[in-house]
Amino acid sequence: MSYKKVMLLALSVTMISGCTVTSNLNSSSSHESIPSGSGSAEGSTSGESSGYIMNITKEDVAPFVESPVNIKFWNPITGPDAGNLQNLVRFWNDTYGNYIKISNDPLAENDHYTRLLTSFADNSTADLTIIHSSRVPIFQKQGKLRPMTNMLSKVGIAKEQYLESIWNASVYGGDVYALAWDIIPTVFYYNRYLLPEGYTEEMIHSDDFTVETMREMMKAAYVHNPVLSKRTYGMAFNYAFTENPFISMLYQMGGKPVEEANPTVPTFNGAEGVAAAEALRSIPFTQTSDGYKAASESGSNHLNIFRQGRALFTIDGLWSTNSLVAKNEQIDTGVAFLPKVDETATRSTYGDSHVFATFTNNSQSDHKDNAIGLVMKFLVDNSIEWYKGGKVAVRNADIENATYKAMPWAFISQKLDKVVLPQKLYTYSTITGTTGEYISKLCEGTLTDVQAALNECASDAEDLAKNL
Amino acid sequence: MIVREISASNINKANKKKGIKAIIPYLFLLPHLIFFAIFVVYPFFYGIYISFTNFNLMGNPEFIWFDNYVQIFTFGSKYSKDFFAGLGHTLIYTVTAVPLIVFVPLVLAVLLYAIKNVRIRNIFQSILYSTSILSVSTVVLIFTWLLDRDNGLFNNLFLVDINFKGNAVLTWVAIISLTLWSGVGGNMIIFLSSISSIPKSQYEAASLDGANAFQRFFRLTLPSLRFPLTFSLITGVIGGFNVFGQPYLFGGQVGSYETVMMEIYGYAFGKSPMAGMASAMSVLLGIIILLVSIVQFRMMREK
Repeated sequence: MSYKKVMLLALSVTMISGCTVTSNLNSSSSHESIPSGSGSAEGSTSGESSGYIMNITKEDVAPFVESPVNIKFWNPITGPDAGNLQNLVRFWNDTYGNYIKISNDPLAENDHYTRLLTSFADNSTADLTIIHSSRVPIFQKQGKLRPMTNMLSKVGIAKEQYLESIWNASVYGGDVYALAWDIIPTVFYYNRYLLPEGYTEEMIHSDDFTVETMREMMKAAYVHNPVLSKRTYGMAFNYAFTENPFISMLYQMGGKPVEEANPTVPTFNGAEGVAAAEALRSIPFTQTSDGYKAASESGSNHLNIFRQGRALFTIDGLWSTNSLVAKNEQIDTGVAFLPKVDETATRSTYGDSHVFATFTNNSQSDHKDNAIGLVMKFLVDNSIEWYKGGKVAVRNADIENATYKAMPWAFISQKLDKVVLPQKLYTYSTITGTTGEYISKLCEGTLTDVQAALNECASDAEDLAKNL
Repeated sequence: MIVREISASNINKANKKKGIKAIIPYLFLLPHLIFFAIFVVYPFFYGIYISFTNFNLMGNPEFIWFDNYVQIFTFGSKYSKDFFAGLGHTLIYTVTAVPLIVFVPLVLAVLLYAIKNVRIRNIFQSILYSTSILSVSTVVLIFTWLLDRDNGLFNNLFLVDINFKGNAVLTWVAIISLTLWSGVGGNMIIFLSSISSIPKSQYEAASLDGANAFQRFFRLTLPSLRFPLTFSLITGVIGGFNVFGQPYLFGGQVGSYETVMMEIYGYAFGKSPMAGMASAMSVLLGIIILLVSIVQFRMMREK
């Protein structure tokens, strides 16, 4: 084919696709008919039955026919749970996207917060965001968050529908500054296939299950095979995820990371913190009778090891369930609370939470706020889809939902007294954020003196906190 | 009188033409200058200003004079530990990676030049350069897969058990290897084009005088490459001090691979954003790079 013909063909294709786009735009702006969205909507773009709840009526959407709205939606949901959110956004856009379009723009957690922080310079922050509840206090203190009390009340989202502690976590001076969508605790995953003889699943779920018992199980389950790919571990240990397990174990011992009365003072370096750190670092140092480390070493991919059925346990966030929870030839996953530090501890876990938040920005308006309210209502109405990605329910109605009850982690909702939420302090995420580095070094063995390490960590945390 | 007037107007016209001619080059430069001012000059001075404030990207910056610098130089403080540890790791990288990123492409360029068949030379040149077009993230991803402890090609192919992310030295070996793999192409092309521009008659004369290959390289090729070598070395050192993507994406044992740029990024956008502190660290890094570059220039000029 000659050069001219190729160019002609390319031009034709461009023109045809351009016409198609234009016609789509025209049809979308004509608003000749609003699709029926009331009741339980069925069907999705792929033709599968979605079963999503659409309690948004034609009347709700009518104000947006003449002036459609685009909701910039920034979130850090890029992990195994990203698909659950994408499904919901796709369903909304297929139904009401011509009037209220959600522009879903996820970024990895660090990049998400970087983008948020840089967007403050010119007030170009997204219309709706998902952040972690531990970050709410600092953003609220800096005056960056907008109250969403009216937005929520207009669409019928009320305190009575939620767990009181999680609702109150975002209330400042009577105003709601964020709406919780879930609780994401740190949990303990186990592979039923590798449970050693004499140890049962009931033991793992018992309130008496300690780190020591877990280490015994690790040793008993450990099998060393010289063929590299066949190596099996007692635990696929995640050396990059030590902050949350440490904070969980600190709470188990009755400690707290930050002094309530003086939020710039870290308190994780007391006796409770030392016990927690000792217990946590004993896991990767567990050795079998023949001298092999029972846990995977630093640098290994804990997710891969567990997925391949080569580890009895792993510790991770509940949000990793889409990667870790399965029943196939290699794994049959169970989920439990973290083991407790020792006999004196209470079995509990620390859980952050994803919350919807609206930041001050240039494009805010009452009209847009109404649309944001409707979108939030749709998303929380369909929380069950979201929980499938590894989340604990925060709405009273969802806790009783049969689909939710069938999820392997639903038991956590029956033991919510064992889930500890972040302290409502502006220094909280900064102070707890310093612990990961030191606990990881203790677990890797590059630091050995636990008390000295925690003291140094506390000194670092104080340096940061006093500059906030 | 008339003659005088005519000549005066001619002179005026000529001056005007000269003036316009003098402006024209600047007009061509203007688009670049505008962008340079917006994206380089303004951020440069704003960054210096920010380093004297407690700016946290959320509130309004308050002037705190040298407070950030004092905290960095208060040994034992978090800021001091992070900055100097990061600087140490950056130096490890710069001292090891930069000589390699100059030496290896030089050797490759000489070897390529020795290939007489142009077609074969071009094929090798393309293959060796092809890695340079990959982004840092792609290269790191490839090496992460290759060097994965359990499922990586390296360990499984050679039936060894090397944990590249479980040991500081091995992590740096991996990071420098991937930098070298992806970075040889650019310098190799520069050296190759410089070698190609050396008159062949000089080589012929050297051969006639009895110079062997090594003598020809050290007495003829290397001196002719002074300028590209200086350029590669200085840009390499500046790049080395600014290294971020490779260690940030590859990872490793906590506390063993964080470079000063990673610390700056962490302070600017981390859980406790401190853009003021990050800017102060950047200014200090800038001064260090400037001093090192001046020393390099002087050494090169003397030689």
